[in-house]
Amino acid sequence: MMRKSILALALLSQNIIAADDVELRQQIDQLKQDYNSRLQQLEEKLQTSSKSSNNKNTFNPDISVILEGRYAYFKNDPENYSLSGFQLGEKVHHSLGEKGFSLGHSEIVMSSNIDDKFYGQLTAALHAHDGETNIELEEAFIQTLGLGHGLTAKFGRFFSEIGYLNQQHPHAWDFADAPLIYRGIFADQYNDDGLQLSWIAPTPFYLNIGAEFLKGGHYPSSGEQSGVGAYTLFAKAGDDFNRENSWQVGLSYWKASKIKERSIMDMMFFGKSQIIGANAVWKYAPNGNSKSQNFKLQTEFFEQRDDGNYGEESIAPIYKNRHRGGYVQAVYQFIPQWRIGLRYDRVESSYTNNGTTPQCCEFGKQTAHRSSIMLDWSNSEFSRLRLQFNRDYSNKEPDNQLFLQYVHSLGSHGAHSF
Amino acid sequence: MMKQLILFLALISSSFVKAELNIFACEPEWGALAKELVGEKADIYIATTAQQDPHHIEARPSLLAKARQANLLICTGAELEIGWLPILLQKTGNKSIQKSEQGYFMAADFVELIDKPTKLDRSEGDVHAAGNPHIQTDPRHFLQISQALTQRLQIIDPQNADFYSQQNQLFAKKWNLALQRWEELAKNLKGKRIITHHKSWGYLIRWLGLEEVATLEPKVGLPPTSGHLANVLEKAKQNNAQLIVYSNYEDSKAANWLAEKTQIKQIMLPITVGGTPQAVDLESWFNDLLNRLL
Repeated sequence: MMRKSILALALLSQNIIAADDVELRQQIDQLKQDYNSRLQQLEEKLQTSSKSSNNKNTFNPDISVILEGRYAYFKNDPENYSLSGFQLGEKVHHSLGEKGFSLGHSEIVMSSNIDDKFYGQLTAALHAHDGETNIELEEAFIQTLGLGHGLTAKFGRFFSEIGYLNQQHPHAWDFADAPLIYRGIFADQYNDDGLQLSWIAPTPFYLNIGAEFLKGGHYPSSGEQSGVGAYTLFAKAGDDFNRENSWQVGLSYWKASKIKERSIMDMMFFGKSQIIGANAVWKYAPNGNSKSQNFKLQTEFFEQRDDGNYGEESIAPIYKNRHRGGYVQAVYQFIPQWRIGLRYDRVESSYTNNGTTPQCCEFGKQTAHRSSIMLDWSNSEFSRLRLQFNRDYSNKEPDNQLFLQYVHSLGSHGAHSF
Repeated sequence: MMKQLILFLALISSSFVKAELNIFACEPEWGALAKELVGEKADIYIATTAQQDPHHIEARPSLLAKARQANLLICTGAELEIGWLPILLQKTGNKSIQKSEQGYFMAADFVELIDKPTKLDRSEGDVHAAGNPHIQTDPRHFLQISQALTQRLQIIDPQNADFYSQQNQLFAKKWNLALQRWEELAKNLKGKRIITHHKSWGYLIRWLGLEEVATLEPKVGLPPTSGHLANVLEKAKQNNAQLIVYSNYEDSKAANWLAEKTQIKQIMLPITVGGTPQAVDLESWFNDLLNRLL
């Protein structure tokens, strides 16, 4: 068989060699034309082929990467920063930033429907500071899909629904830094491990109530906790005034009863802590079309009450710490791609001591405030450059701060919650 | 206290619950199509207006509340609502509109999409992997979609199956007549060279045999830049463009500028039902669209 075919080939090639040169060219041209037309057909097929051809990655999770970096100017040294009247969580000392160029909050988000009943998401944040790179698991949760009756359950690590800004990722924030009250009582943002239950009422307007049962291992709680170390309750309501105006208001409550060794610099807090919060958001867009122009007004208020002791677990709480404050901010997109924003922050705190030896804190009432202005430009939904200036009266010395920041996201298309 | 609260909530919620079919239409054209088929047999909520770019919508509280109650979701699909629909599905805890359920109806699943990108890269703008999602601009699509939607309605609400089937036949009859009329009217438009703002009119262009010379957007979804407009101006002159077209929700500045420079006529076209005062339902919308083009 093999021999025969070789023989046939040899004969064939002899024939071809024998054939006229011109004839050969014609044949080749013919072949070329054939192939060209076939290629064209194939290309056309490729263009109109069914959706499946584009969806080779269907079973891979959606991945998006957030790249954030900045150039910062501080009149005072940010290393010496302290928020008047607050004992800041350790995380904050990194988040205030460094002078000059620095990488901010780089994030990798992976998410996908797990099956018809569950959705899952993982968010890892990479922080570079002092030559070290730390990976922080910010979110790792599963969530039910269409449990029915407006119910949703979430398990794992997630950003708490407390407040309005808390569950937004920092790249979605309108300013380069967290409001002072968030910095003071949540160390910028509060997440923990646990279970969240949420219910949307079957009302014509939006009404959402829910609760979170948390381990209580994360600031502002702390320590090894058995069972539920902290819990939150939240309620939100919202609707449209009309096609151009929408609103949402929210109330939230947080409590941790057995905080152990909440470390603040070299002091340890033992005791209980409660936080209440209220927030309101109003959004406006001409004709409801936010793409070209829109306006957003948002405000939040929190009060934290700590009752406990420093240094040891005591029978009777000696210290009563009160922190309260909030912010109001307005962001206006005046032409496509360009937004301007103003923010005013104010916090106050007071400490009372029923014991004899003042080990901690400056006593009495202290206030801190800050004013910010920002201008940002977004080439597309995926890229944003921001310039922000703060006049900051939250430290002992008034500070001027300037940030030039980029926040870009690449990968899958994010969705916009209100 | 807690018990009273739950009782109160149960009371107020029960007073709003209706047993009938609740339809959540992402865009006005699907609301209008649903209306043709269901008549008074369902409540239809339309999530966006013709003045809104359906790609740039937030999952507002009102949308969450409405999606919570829907038994049927009618959207375009093909990633048009990618910025907000996933949140509605995730947060509302509504089983019947999840992807795996019959209450999830994506119109783009029932037509052939054009403009599928051969490469997926964001340097090309906000491209849609599935293809051009603006399927409503080819009226022939409504026949296929109406057929598919009818079948879906019959599954969800079998009691009224015969009614939906009748309504669909009525619609198909009416629509076929209208198509003949429109195609007769639009004969002269064939081969007309037009410039569009965004790739919204791809299907209309194919239907009427128009020729797209350029788009005012430099990349899909990015606003026109002066540099790009200079190129468009050049192209418009070279190719002898005859018409500049923009949708009612798009900024008319770039179109006006080009019209002034080139003396080419520019027209605003309603992108969907409600885009102009004349476009009150599907038929009057296409009537108006063609009137403006002719």
